[in-house]
Amino acid sequence: MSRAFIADCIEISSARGMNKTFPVLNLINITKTYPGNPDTPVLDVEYFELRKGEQVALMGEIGSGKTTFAKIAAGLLKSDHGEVRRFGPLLMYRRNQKFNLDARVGYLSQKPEEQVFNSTVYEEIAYALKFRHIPPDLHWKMADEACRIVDLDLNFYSDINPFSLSEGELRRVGIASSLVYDPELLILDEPAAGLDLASKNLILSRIFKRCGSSNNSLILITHDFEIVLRYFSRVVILRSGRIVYDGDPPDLIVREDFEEVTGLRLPFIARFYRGLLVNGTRLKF
Amino acid sequence: MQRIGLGNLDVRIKILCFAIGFTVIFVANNLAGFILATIIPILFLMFCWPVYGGFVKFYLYSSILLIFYLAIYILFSVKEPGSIRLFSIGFFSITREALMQALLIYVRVSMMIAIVYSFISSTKGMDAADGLGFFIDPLSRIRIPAREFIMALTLSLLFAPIFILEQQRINEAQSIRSARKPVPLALLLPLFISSYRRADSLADLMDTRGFVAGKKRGRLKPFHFGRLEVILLVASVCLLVAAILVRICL
Amino acid sequence: MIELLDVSFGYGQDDKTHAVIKDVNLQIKSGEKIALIGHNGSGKTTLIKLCLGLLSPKSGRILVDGLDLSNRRELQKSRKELGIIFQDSYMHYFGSTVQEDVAFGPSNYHKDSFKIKELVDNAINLVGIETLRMRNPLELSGGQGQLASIASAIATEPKYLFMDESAVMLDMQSKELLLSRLFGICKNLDKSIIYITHDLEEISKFDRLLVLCEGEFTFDGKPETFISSPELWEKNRLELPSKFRLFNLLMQRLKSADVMQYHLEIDDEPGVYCRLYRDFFSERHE
Repeated sequence: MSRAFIADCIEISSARGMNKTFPVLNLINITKTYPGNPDTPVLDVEYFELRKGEQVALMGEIGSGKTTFAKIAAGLLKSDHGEVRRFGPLLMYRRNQKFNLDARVGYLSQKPEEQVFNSTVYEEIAYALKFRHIPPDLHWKMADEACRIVDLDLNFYSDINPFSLSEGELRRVGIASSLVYDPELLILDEPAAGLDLASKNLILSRIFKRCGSSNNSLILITHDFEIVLRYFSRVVILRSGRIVYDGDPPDLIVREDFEEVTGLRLPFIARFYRGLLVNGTRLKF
Repeated sequence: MQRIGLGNLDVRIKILCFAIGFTVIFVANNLAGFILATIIPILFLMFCWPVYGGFVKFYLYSSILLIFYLAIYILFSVKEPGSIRLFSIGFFSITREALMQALLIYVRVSMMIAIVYSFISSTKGMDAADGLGFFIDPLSRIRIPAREFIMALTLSLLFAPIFILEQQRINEAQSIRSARKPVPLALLLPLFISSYRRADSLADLMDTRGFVAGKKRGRLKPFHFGRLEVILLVASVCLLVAAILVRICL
Repeated sequence: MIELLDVSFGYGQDDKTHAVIKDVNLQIKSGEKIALIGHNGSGKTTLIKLCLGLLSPKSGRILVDGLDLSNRRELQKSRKELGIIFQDSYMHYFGSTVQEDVAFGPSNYHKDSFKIKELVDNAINLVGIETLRMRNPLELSGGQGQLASIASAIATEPKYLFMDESAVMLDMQSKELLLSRLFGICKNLDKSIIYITHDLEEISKFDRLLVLCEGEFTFDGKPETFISSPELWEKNRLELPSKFRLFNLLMQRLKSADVMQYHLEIDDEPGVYCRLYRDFFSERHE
């Protein structure tokens, strides 16, 4: 019985009404090793907690375990050791069970356009709603909201066969289909890598806004420090599978040992900010 | 220190032994012949050392299928005049001949499974294609489209792991969306489409890296026709000769 | 030298043709470091495929070192000097280990195992994936896979290397390291890189910038010129990254600033920075 576990129990029992500080995700002593590389664990996380309504950015150099982290959190991957708790209860995998799914989880990875298989855009987007006990009269409304996020006019596209769309349009349909049920725990695995800057900023900012207004939790995996500084008040840095920083982004970038600790290159904005500091100017964001 | 294993063997010799092993299995028609036939499967299995556990599972699953087929064979086999009826179940009767035949088939198939399994698990895709290409290539001189066949085979072998990964990815995405096991259509249609695109990309990439069907290629690890290979080849040929003799003389 | 002469490409039948590339003329010499940018759908990938002979132009000719790509035999010969990494190359491999995959290209051109091994070792060292040599490439992370594909493409030592958004999953540090090494090769061995990107902050590292807009080249010159003209960005349907917006802002207000080197010679009082930085940030907070 670790301290964290007991703390959670207390938390859970006193937060029955799912108030703002309810822990939505806990990772405790998680290790994961891939068979192709048995000596180095790809993930080795002692403790991670995400609360309701919290938004956190996950960063790290290549191979640091970000995608593995995301998949374990989503229930798509089973860790070798440790506990994963989602919305409170411990995640248990039966013997040959591969996934541990929860209808409240959303997961968006690269190439969201490749999951499309329905014959009209509306059916495709509303597909996820059928499995979540959402009354049919709300389906259109939710699909429309999802379309607004990705800049699609549902009225125009609803009856069109998705396979006749352009690649960009198809990608938007894919993103909308994954967001339509407004997941309480949304995990985004570099969803905008390769998209042009304008679309990226637009779509991401809308996703964040909706999460904020619905008080949903979010984990975003990204390389882009500017997005992190702009939208997040908490960033987690992974290095060789371990969490080396978990806290405030501006506090992180002003640290002298930034590069040693994170293994990442200091982003331009930080260098500029530091340059100004050196000149004797203090700044407030 | 490298243990002697099938993985280190020259692919071409492996293929030859494979073929000889199969031939011996079918040439054998008496007890002595069968004993000879078991030599290659057992040898192959023994030296395919990292994968024993996998073989057992594979064999068991295959056996179930095989036994099912054989059961039908036994029950429905045509009764020849003079066959010894062992016992009857309703309309069906089981003859001794049918049982013997079934046993024969079972043993033969088991040996083939052993050879095939050890070959597959100790040989990498590209190597197998290269090895096979070595033998089939001369056929192109007599107007058989051997080179195109090898290219198609190479592409398929290269594509297989990509295909499996794609299926995994799509399964994950659909599972999250539907919060349960996805319907087959949700898996098949995207898989089909993405496979088509991937195959296209793979072929493009092959082209740009200079692959030309039929043109002779070099290898990072060259074909090594060494002592071990010679021993094995000679032994296999002797085995084949022995099997033929046994069949003729006994 | 790669030459595109009046090249056009499109889909569809005669009266309903959707033109992707319109009457393009271009020359790429050896030793050039070129960045190619363009909005979504501007035809970047199509252009690259035309240069590699994977697509045939509807009109015009493409020559690589004098070899006409429409001729099958010359096309095969030209392939040796052309290298490409596509956006999805990190998912396609030709071997069960990274080493074998990198060896695929060289093994198509050389029969000698020693030579092949040499090329493989050089490529792996250059990209810096020595530790991944014996791993299964399909098990690598996205960024590692991209590095592996880059190694595979450069193993044949092509004269012209095309990179179609093939570094998107690398973090900044790996990308900078990779680019500096590739640039070293460009300089020492007179090779060219043509680098397509959506990450518009990288373009300042290149000698020459090509901007593609709706199938035509609208800019061909130094990156600095393009960066300091915001109206060009809008015309080409591109969004200026914040770094460049900041510098344009600074340049408007200060005496001198060298955009490319981020070296500012400013003799205003520190208060100016404060205001500028705040302006910059308030501009971005919608």
